[in-house]
Amino acid sequence: MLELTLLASVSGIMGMLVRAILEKEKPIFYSYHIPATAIATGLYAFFNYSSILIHMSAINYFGIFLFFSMMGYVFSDVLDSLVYIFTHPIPFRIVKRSRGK
Amino acid sequence: MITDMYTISMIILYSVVGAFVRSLFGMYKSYGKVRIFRLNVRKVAVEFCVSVIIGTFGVIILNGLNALPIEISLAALIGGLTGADILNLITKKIGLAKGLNVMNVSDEDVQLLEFNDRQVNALRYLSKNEKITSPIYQKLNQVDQNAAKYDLIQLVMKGKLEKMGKGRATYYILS
Repeated sequence: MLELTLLASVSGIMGMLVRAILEKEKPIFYSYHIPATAIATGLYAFFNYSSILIHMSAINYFGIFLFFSMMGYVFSDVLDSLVYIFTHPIPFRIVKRSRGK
Repeated sequence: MITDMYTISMIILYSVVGAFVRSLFGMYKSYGKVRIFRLNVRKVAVEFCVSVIIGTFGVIILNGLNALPIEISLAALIGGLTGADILNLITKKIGLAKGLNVMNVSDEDVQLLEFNDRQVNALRYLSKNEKITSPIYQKLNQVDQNAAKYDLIQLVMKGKLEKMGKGRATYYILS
């Protein structure tokens, strides 16, 4: 169980790093995305251990790695979008009606 | 192998949900970054369709290979969310980005959209030089003193430039 959790965390971090490199993120991005992604993917693997199919085959491990790296990628993307929404709320535009002289 | 229609329709549904969420986030970010927001329907439609296709077929193929470790609904949702990014990567690598019009503009371009051409000239000048003065701005853009002063103050107010010195010795640097 712990092995799967660790594999999920590492795969998630790798997916997150791929996204961060592609998006050319700033160093502060890594400081909270790395722990958040590792915790999220690790917790998912830990609590869904029974539903994750594990065979001793290379393709199954490849599938697990692919799935959790994509999960890390998506989690990082969604987290970044949510942070952006909270830090940049849509400004309420007030249109003043001009009064004619 | 997935054969029943119910499972396939569920995969498509989750892919659509993922693609929809991804499109909403993308549109929100564009709206927040660009002052004049113009929705590119073609780009959104292409990204949406590709996300759904990648989400659906990715899950079906991985399931067929017996390489899908979790339930198909979550995998389809994740496939739908990442589909547009995968398309962007492929088109950028092959060089189809311009033709398909699916690439996002760079952050630098987005930031420059809120300035006029004269101000963009000044910012490009400052990327090569340390400082800019009002006479240099006037020569650079062929404008009078008032226009130069107005543009430079606007850049200071928007936080791009910092005003240094006083009177005739005033100059501006990047903040």
